[in-house]
Amino acid sequence: MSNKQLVLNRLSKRYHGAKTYSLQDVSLEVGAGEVYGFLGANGAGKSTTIRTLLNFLQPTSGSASIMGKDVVRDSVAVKRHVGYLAGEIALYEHLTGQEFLDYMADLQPVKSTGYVAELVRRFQADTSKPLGTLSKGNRQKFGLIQAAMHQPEVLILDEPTSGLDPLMQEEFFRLVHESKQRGASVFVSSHNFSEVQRMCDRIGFIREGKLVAEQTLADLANQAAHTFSLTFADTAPVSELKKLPQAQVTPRDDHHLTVSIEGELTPLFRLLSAHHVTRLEQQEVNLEEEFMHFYEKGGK
Amino acid sequence: MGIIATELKRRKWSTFWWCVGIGLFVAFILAIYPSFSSSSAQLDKSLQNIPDSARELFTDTSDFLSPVGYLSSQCYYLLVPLLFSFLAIGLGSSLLAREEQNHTIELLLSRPLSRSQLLLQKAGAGLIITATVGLVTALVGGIMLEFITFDGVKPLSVFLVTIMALAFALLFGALAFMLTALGRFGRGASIGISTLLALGGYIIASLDKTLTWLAWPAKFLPFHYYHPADILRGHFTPGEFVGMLAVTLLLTGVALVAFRRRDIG
Repeated sequence: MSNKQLVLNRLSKRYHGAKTYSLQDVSLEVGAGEVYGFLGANGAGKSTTIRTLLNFLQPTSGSASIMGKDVVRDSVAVKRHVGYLAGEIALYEHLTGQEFLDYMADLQPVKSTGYVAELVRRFQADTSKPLGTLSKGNRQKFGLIQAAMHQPEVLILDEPTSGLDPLMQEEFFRLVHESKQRGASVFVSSHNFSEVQRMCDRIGFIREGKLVAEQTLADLANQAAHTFSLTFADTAPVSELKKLPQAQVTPRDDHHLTVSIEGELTPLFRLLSAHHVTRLEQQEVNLEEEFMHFYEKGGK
Repeated sequence: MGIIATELKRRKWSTFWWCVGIGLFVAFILAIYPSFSSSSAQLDKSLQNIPDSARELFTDTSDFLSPVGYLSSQCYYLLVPLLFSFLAIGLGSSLLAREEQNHTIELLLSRPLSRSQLLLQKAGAGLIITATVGLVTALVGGIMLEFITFDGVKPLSVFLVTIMALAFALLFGALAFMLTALGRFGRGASIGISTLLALGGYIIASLDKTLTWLAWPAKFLPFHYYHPADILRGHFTPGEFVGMLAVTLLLTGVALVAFRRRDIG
């Protein structure tokens, strides 16, 4: 088996009676030890993708496999390897946290009861109270614990940090890191750019049911490393900068501009030395900007 | 703690109160018979003036106050099967639909559990609950007959008539269950359609002797095959019982096929 633990092959879904596809020809792969962020606006097809992977929805065409097994034909076998957290977590309100975890463990035996206890301790989950009495954040902790407690090879998480306080978000990032370290694939759908940026190795942008772009965080960082925000004491030398080879200049106002340059930086700095530069900032990865780029300008 | 055990635990108090409620009802109806039996001939004579069509809505015998007539009209012809049906329809319409409505079904189906296993375990839980209430009712009826004399009626007959009423109710529970498993009907619609068929079937099948044009459609209704007075007289027809169970299994089979293939949520 290849190290691609989650594979989508031209996966499509059109709901009964719908004229358009909610998911169209989506192909992607997630390798062992990789964290894949799935970004898209509401209704773009993120949840449809996840629900098709879990076989809650039947694909209209195409296929998907997890750990080499088809998600439709071998659904039960697939789920032995999967941990899933729904976007809007629904729990059994009448059960206490402990009863709920016992129930889930009964349906999918855990490798180590000690690990479940450790997760409960780390997420500071109160297992004695009925789940219906807990706040959204505390319920989300149980959602995360039930998804991770059997140490699955593939984690599929929909908006995982929703409702978690910053301390618990940190604990969640540690959990994802540990899962990655032991070779698990993590597929995360999210609206939270900083969370995706923090934990993902690769990102896919989905729009109107189609995967419009995929990029590694390393590529994004590399791209951003060559983008500078500049402030000049005098009028910004826009026309001079535009003459530099492979430079893209975006004026902000008379004194400010952004310049992206590929390759050799020496010509840029030689030109800047002839001007009174008051501020120079190297841009960081801005996922939000990338996201808006795909949505406002229709993608690359 | 599996799905069946969790479902039974969740519904333990409602099951307990159903047992208490129907058990007390049957015990009470049977216990007060002696106060009617002494004047049964006189009362029956005055009740003969009731039109046939009205009488057939309450009993499948010509007399109301003979031992068989009393048990049938006051207990086993209408109220016991109807109460069992309400229980079974309530269960059938909620066992799967509630999980789907609350989205907890995703928790279950994200585990290594096939849809067939989920559906059958839910159906199993429903069967256990309905059967528990049915058995308690049968037991109460049988015990009461040890203390109160109903000439010509054996405790076994009371047990069998209760089991027949249970089979009748399970059929409608399975119908409600199938409707929710199809995914095109919500809980409300499932309860409504099943109850309508149970009550409508009862009215049509009760009147088919008076209104002859109802005789043909009545043959397709379960109530047509439910004859408590005959069973109380000792004439239990296994074929009718097996037929009801077969239709129940058929409805569960349709639920199974439909649920395996459809989108969830």
